[in-house]
Amino acid sequence: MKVIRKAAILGLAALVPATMAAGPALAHSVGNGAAGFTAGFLHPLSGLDHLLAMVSVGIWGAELGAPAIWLLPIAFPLIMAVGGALGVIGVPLPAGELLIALSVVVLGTLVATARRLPITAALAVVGTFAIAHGHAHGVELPMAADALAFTVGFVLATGLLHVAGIIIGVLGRWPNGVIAIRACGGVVALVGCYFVYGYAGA
Amino acid sequence: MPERKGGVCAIPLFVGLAIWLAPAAAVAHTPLQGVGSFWSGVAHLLTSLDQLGFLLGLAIWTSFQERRLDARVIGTAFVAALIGVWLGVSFGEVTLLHLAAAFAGLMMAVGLAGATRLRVGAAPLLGLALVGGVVGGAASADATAGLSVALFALGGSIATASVLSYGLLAARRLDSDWGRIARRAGASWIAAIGLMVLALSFTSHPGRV
Repeated sequence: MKVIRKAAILGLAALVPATMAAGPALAHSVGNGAAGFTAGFLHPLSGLDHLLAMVSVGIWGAELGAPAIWLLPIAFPLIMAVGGALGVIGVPLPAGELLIALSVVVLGTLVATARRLPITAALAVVGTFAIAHGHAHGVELPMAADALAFTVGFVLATGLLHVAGIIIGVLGRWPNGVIAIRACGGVVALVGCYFVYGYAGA
Repeated sequence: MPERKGGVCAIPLFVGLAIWLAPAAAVAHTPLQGVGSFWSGVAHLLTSLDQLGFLLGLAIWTSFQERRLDARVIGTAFVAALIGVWLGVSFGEVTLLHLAAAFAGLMMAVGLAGATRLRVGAAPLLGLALVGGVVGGAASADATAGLSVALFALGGSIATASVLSYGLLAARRLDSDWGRIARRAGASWIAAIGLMVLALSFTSHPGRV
């Protein structure tokens, strides 16, 4: 620890003076990287189906307790990335949009009923939907101005949505919180039904 | 002991503040090349998301190992980054796309190792630090045009060691139950990014990796 602290102090001592020297300001020079990151970060937030599914994963994990509370948010990005990679290299996913809509229905229902599944079954459910969500991101990824920044943005946003879900799920420690969470799950499931109806109508 | 600790940490801040207060000319809206070779090397690393991702992943993974390995990992990455720039300049035919794929693979490796809290000996850890440092340095070599290679490499290496040091400091402090979960979740995010960028490296796309 001492060695790291010394190295950190030396690094700071070397970097701080130089940042204070008269270097050029790079104001107003937003490049493709910033645009890619912003687009990637906003992508899961701007799609209601993605947003509801990600938050529901976090809430359900909190309802299930350990180890699901940490295992689901750790496993989801990895499995989602597999789906994303399939989308990037052009492997088609039949009825991918329907799977995404169904994920909102199923995850909302699981939250509303506080359904307890074995961890392997919970991982299988979440993993299946993670593939569909990742595939949808992956298909759009090659069109991004800066694909790396886009990827960083959307993985970060997805993770933060899980964290938001876990924080909401912690409300379940209070009796009224349990009711609120289960009501939210019901609303999410209903919205998911609307998505499925929209898919079937299309 | 807390008093001594506070005193040590305050020294660079006071030095920085003193220099900050010294008068200097403002050079707004000039290109990055104006900062010179050393700071171009620093800025190149700090603005390369893939290199930052790898270093943070390496820091997280290292934080799950014995503390005695910390300094060796930092030292190895420092030296490897220096060597990497020289190799990149000497063997310019290695395309950036190949290095992007290699870096994505490295991100995936350290991310998965951190997410699964893989406990290993010194050799795999130092090996990845070495390979990552060399690949990162080589990937930076294209930015050395018109600059002093030695100063650029030194800047990049110091930035590499600094990012690793601060990453390890932060990761080691997250030692509670939730802190460990946060570290593992962060590592899984890095692995996910690495996997998707790796896939992008093997397909044609209009954007850049």
